[in-house]
Amino acid sequence: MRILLVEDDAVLGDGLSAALRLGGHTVDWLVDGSDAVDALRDDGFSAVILDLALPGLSGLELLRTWRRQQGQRIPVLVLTASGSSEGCVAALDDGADDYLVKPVDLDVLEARLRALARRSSGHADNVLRCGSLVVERDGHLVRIDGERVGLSAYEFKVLELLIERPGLVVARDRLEAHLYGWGERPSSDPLRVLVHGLRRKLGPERIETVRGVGYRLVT
Amino acid sequence: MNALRSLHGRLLVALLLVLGTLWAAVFTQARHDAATSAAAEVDGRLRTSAVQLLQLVVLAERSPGDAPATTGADASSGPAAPGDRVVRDPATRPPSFEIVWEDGRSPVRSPDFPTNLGTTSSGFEERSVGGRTWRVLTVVDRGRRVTGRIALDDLARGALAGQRDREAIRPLLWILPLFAIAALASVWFGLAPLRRLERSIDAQEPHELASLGLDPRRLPRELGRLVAAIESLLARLRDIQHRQRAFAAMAGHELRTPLAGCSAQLQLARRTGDAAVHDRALGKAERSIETMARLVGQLLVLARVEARTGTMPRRRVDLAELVANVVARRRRNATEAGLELGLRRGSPEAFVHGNPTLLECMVDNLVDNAIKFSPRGTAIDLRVDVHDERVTLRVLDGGPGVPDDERDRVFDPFHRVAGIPRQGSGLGLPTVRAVVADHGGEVRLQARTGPGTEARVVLPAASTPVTRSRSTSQG
Repeated sequence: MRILLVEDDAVLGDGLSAALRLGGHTVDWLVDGSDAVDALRDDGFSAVILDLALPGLSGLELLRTWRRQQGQRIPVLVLTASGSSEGCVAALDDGADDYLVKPVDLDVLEARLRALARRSSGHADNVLRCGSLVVERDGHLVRIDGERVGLSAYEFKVLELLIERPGLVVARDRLEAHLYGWGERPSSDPLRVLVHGLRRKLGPERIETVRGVGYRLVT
Repeated sequence: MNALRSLHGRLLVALLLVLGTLWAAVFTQARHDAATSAAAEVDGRLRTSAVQLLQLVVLAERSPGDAPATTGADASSGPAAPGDRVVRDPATRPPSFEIVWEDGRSPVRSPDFPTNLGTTSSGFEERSVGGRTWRVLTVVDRGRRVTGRIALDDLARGALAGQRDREAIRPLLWILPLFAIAALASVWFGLAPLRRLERSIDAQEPHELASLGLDPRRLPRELGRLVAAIESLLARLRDIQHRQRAFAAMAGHELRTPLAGCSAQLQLARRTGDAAVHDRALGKAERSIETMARLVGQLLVLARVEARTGTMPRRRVDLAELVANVVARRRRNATEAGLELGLRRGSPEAFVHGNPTLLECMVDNLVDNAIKFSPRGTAIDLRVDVHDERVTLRVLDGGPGVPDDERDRVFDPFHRVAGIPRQGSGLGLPTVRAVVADHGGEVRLQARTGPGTEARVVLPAASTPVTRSRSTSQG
């Protein structure tokens, strides 16, 4: 998943982003609410982790801006220090999809993010299928006809994005953003390399190149 | 004198004393008047009788055949029997009389006229005969050469006076209990607003101080002022309570964030197989714990300063030396952060009167703040000067500075300056302000020449007396 983290505490933000990256996700981390207003316009995020207490724009105001003014539908999970029901009700009513009270258990956080991403892409569970190809999101497992196929972390990310919308083109930019977030792109063109690796492991007909646009998983 | 401890009692006693004195005066006056009027009545009776007597004499002399009997009936009463005199009411008994002619005829007397009266001159006289005192009126008719004497003894007079006396004081007697009841009732009624106020205050819940709910327009003026003062105090107490609760809640929440950070880093450390990542995560977890420890420490300092229990001893403290200690202790932190830390003393000593622990905490917080917000390669300058009976401490940093409109608000607990990620507990500057205020000083952030901020603390020098400045916003 590509996750946007809006958290002002240095240690917590660092802990969350490092742990999520370790879990194979791409994380972009912002510390100020006002910086995050336009972040979702780059619509490659699977989910957002939003701390309610932020300098600049508060978490709730940010939510409202996203939902009401921009019509952003990306799932948002809210982090809050207050377990009070009023705060949580306010957050949920203003457009949050889920909330967690700090301190958070990372496993729980990841599972909830997966659930949110799953819902928003319309899938019933964490298993994505396309023909004989089966991708299990939570375990990062890929099988063809039941047999496991070993993929690197980045290869898995590319495949995950392609299999989320089978048959539909996924733009190159989107794929790269999903892989690296706003971080620096490597100077070589690893996307081509990754697709090449995938074709090798899954079969060349699986992935189709759409010239000038991106790639597509063949159904 | 327990009655005087009660307002009701005081009023009642005062009222009863006044009324009592008044009543006693009226009573005395009434009795005196009764006595006077009784005496006057006696004299009047004597005079009337004298006149009547002489008239009778004139009449008798005109009809010489009817010589008045030497014994016999009084002119104004029926035949006298020896026992009658005692039975008849002494108050209404007619006076005794005597008529003496100059020409030697035998005098005429009433049976009870005292003998041995002696000679009396005309007019009123008092004579004592046989254990009784007689009031005697002597009337001389020179033309007919006759002297008449009318007399009334003290028994009769006394009985009359007694009667008048009783008539006078009877109403006064039952007025007395009426006064007492009226006094009680008016005190009770008059102080009713006070009792209502007392009930109102009694009904206050200490945990939920509500307004007294009394309409000041319907209260007597004096109570109105009292109620206004109480309401103002209650409002301030509510405000303080509210702020304390909000502060406690905020502090609790603020602790959750470093807890969350610590927890996240520890979970990360568990997940990673990479030793470098592992160590880094543990290091950050330690930083979180330091933040939490700082926060807890500052909460305790704030609690102590707020409590003002006076258990923190005060003495002459050399602030310059204190600052030097802090600088020495913090030098390593500064160096690690790529910062230079320097102290310049305007004078060798700078004595203030205060608690060394609190003051050191204050300086430490200021230095810590400067270290956190200064970018690498800049310098933090500390300066201590004594001037005009004031000691000034300045902490200058080269950090991003504080926007004008936030300069005051940075002293609020847990305030974050926009755009700067949170570091530390959020209680550093509030603690500084609380300690400075407790020591009778002032602290301010201001811009300096060039980039950065100057934190300026001004404290009274040790020789000047200290009054705690009322910090109106910290509460």
